[in-house]
Amino acid sequence: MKIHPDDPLITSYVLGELEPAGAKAVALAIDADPLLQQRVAEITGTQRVLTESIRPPTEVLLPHQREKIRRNARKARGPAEMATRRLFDTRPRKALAAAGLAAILVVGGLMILGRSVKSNVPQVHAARDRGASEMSSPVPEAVPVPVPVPSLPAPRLQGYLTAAEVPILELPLAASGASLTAVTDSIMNLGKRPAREVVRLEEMLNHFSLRFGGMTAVARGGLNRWHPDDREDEEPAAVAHAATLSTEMLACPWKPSTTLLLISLRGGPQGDAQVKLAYHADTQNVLRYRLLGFDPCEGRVPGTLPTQLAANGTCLLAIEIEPFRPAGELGVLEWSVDDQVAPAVSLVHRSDAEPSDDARFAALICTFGQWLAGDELEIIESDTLAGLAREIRSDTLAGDRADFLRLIDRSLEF
Amino acid sequence: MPRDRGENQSLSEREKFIEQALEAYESPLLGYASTILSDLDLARDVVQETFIRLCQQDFSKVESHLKAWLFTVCRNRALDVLRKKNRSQPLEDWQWRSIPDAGSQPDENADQTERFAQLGSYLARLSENQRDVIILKFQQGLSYQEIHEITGLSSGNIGFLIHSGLKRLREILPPDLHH
Repeated sequence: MKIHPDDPLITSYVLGELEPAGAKAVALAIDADPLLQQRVAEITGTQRVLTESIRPPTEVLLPHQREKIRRNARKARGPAEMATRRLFDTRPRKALAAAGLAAILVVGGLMILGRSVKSNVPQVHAARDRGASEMSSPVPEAVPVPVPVPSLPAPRLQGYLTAAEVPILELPLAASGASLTAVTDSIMNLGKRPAREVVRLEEMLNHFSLRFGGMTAVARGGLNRWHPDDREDEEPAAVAHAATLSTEMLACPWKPSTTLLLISLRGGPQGDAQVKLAYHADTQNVLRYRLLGFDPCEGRVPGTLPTQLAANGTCLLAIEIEPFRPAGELGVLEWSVDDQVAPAVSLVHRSDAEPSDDARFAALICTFGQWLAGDELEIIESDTLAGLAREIRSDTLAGDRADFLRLIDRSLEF
Repeated sequence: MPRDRGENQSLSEREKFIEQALEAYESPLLGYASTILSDLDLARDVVQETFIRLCQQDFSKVESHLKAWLFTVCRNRALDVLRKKNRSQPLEDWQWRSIPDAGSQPDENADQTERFAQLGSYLARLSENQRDVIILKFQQGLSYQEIHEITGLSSGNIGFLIHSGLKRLREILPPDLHH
């Protein structure tokens, strides 16, 4: 076995990280090569310096901090503990209780008068429904509606791709919004965590209308003959807005050292288009990355990727990027529409940039989807999820987003 | 009543589990968080929060990889705090401030702190990932597999980062520190 003196195998051998067979082979090579012996001595010397000097002084927690931990150990218990993480107060609200009491009094009065009780029941329901429509109200009782669960293969979460080895990733476009329906049915109606195979992050993202606030590029199709000088024409030429690509980046909620790249593709009004989209990682700044969701379609597997973008349709994607440093050039998105090259989007992450509301909501969807799918177990905690949802919660939240928060709230029970 | 006995038994096991985890990992985690944050008070807060999160876990799912779990949570939280502490300061500019040690003799403490700070200034010249894996390897004595579980980096990447980091340190470390 011939080993170059600069081979990382030598370091792994010195640090005892090789399997016995590999270590034996490296040891034989070292015995036969004075250069390798010299390298082993150098590595051993640096190892000694590090182990002697890198050790910080021994410290312990303060007594009150230890006691707080012990108190938490005593009080933490399954369902009760989970209840503290809920987003919404599930205790009956005073207004609701008052409405219930009023209804009971009305019913009682009517009974005394010898009238039918049935005629008053809808009033009770109406009071409950009004309460349920408030953001801070209890989670409404969902009416069980059978939702067909898509027949999908067992999930295989996307692995990271090392930028130096795979600098380009072609991105798939096909994504419906069906998964969120199945996830909602499981959590709200069946009262259980959904099966992992129905958790499709890309479909959950596509269920919402999100507009990202970062770089945007517009592709124009072959019919675009419009010019500002034509604006006075009686019959202006058709504007062929073929597709729009928008991006935004923010710190990944479950791993702040990485960047979450959000991509939105919107089809133009002219008709369906074939859109080819690829992420080119900046190998100087990006260590590794992965496309979230899109299982079992692994982007790196050669083959035909779904590329059709419907007229006025939307496709959202999320890529987790692990850079060498917190901010900087992360690469470029190159794309084409119907084989016409569109303006590339440069990806520069500024760590101090304030993310838009839609980007924060998309990050919440990603966190929820990855949490449900069992990704980054023990890194994505229910506390993290609940905290993110609380940050997004507001009185002016759109209805579908408020429903999504209720879904998260209910899922924290399981 | 049997239910009460069961709960007490469960709570007792929980407390025992936490006590053992504190005993084994309190100081290593504090050392690690202090290295990242250069602030003992912040490091203590991070480690306290890490153990409180441990209290909220299903122990049966954590105990098989407790060490990696603790370091993962501690690392993520420390990096989060670091960013919030100084958003404009990149991680390359970690300050290796001396951290007083209440338990050591003054001379011994000063010597150790000086060596730690001196080496830290050279470690700060490595890339973030190189420094991260070198601290986990040489300060905490973790295996490549454990570092993989904490950072998500592949074993191959970890090996390469440690190799290139050591090589860089050999180039920049002064002879007096090296010998």
